[in-house]
Amino acid sequence: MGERGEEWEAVMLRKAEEEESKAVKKVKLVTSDGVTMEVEISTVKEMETIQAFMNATDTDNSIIFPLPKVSSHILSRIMELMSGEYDQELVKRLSHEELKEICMVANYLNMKTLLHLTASAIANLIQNKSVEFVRHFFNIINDFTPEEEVQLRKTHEWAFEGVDED
Amino acid sequence: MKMEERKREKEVLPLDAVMNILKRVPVKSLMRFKCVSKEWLNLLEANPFFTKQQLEHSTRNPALLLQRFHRQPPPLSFSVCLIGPHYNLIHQSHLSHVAFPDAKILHSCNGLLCLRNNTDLSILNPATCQIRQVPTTTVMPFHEVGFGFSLLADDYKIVRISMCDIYHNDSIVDLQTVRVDQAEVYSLTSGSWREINAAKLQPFCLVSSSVAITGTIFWLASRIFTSGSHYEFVVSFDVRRELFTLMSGPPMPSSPSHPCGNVLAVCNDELAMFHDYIVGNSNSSFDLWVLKDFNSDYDNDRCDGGGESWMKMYSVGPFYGIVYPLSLWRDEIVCLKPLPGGDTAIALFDPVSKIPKQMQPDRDEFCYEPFTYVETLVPV
Repeated sequence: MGERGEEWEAVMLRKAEEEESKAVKKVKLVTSDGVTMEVEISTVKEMETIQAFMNATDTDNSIIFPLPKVSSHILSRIMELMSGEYDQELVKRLSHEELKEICMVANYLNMKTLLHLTASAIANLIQNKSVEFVRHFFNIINDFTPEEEVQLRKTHEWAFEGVDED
Repeated sequence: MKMEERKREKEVLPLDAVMNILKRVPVKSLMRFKCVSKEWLNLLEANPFFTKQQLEHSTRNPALLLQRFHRQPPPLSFSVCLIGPHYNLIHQSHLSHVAFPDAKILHSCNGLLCLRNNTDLSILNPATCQIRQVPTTTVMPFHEVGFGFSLLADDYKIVRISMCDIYHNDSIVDLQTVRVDQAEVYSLTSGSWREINAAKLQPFCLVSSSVAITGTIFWLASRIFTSGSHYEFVVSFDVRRELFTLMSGPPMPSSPSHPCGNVLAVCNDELAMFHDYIVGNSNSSFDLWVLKDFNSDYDNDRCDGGGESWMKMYSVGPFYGIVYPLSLWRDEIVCLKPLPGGDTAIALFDPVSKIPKQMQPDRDEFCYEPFTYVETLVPV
């Protein structure tokens, strides 16, 4: 190789360093299933829970943030929604389980726009549904005795008219 | 299977997220969802924090409730319809399934309606189908009813102001000689009536029905002097402290047009007043004034004549023909338009786009009264 080769390598290295400092700052998010996803810092701005930790280490270029409650599948869905500027059509394509999990993450990470969007979508989904559908959707165990439930249904009989089929 | 179960257990939404979802669900569905679990029953029936959150959310998108007067004999002489944010008809009914067949809506406040059936009053929450009969008391032939809410007292109150003829002439109604006599208050919390001091109002006659903002109820009052001249004032009633205050209205324009009258309204939880006048032969115009910096429910020691001031928001018109402003719904003016033959139609007018929208009346309706309505869980 010789001296010329070494010189050339040094130039390239400097160039690469320059590029890196010019590039958009990235944050590494580690999901519950151990996947590391690199996202732009602007994305993390909407995650207010993370933001609260970030300010102290703002100058650091290699932030790694663990998200033990978020799976890589859900995080990538969230990225899709964010890059699609929270298009309603994208929300409609989510499965019930995805919608619920994204809502949970939006609540946990305090992402206001995403929380508003998913909470509204769930409200629309359940408003004409039966009690059984709602229990199933939210994983809620019925803790009424059969007598108590019959009595409650009787008291609000009018509210059971016009319910969609599950 | 065990893994699956543990996974499912973890996926229960925390209660704050559940509340965020449920506040967006119609109240009828929430009544049904009381059967989901004990936790939900408690949330939907007895959680003041959630009740407040739901009300705050529904207040952002109020519906227009129209009381319609029909040409039919009772019990079908009134009906109500609800118009949603996109001018869609949400619902129409006679209130008869929950209230007396011929009960008339007097006021609407945070989703609760104050109804009158003959001389009996009741408070109805149409969303939960809950109704409370207000105990009967003897009333004067002339009286005005107000209905309002105080955030600080967290209470809804009805105030009834009785008027009498100063010459004790009950057979001839002469507004020149009718004055305020006494006032009484009914509170939802106490469940009883109580007489309050109305001495300040005794030189006046109330000349409008009331409107309410959070913490305060307002009327227009007129004072007639022996010379025959009369002046209009605004009477305010502090719902929490149960005190009356008098204020002057906005400055009147000194134009060659003929003033028609003043109509009280509510604009973003502030008192507003339409001042309407006739231009030319018979073309209506009106100005909207708003009472700014009126501290009703927040300041503990406000004296009469605080820092409030009237501000002119806009002038609209002249319209072709006669149009009466009735109230404000969101940013639009709800107007009554007389039709040939003595009937009237409701029209909505956006002061920015200046495009009127006339609602198509049914054949047997002849008059309307508009209210702002939101769904609430507030128990009555």
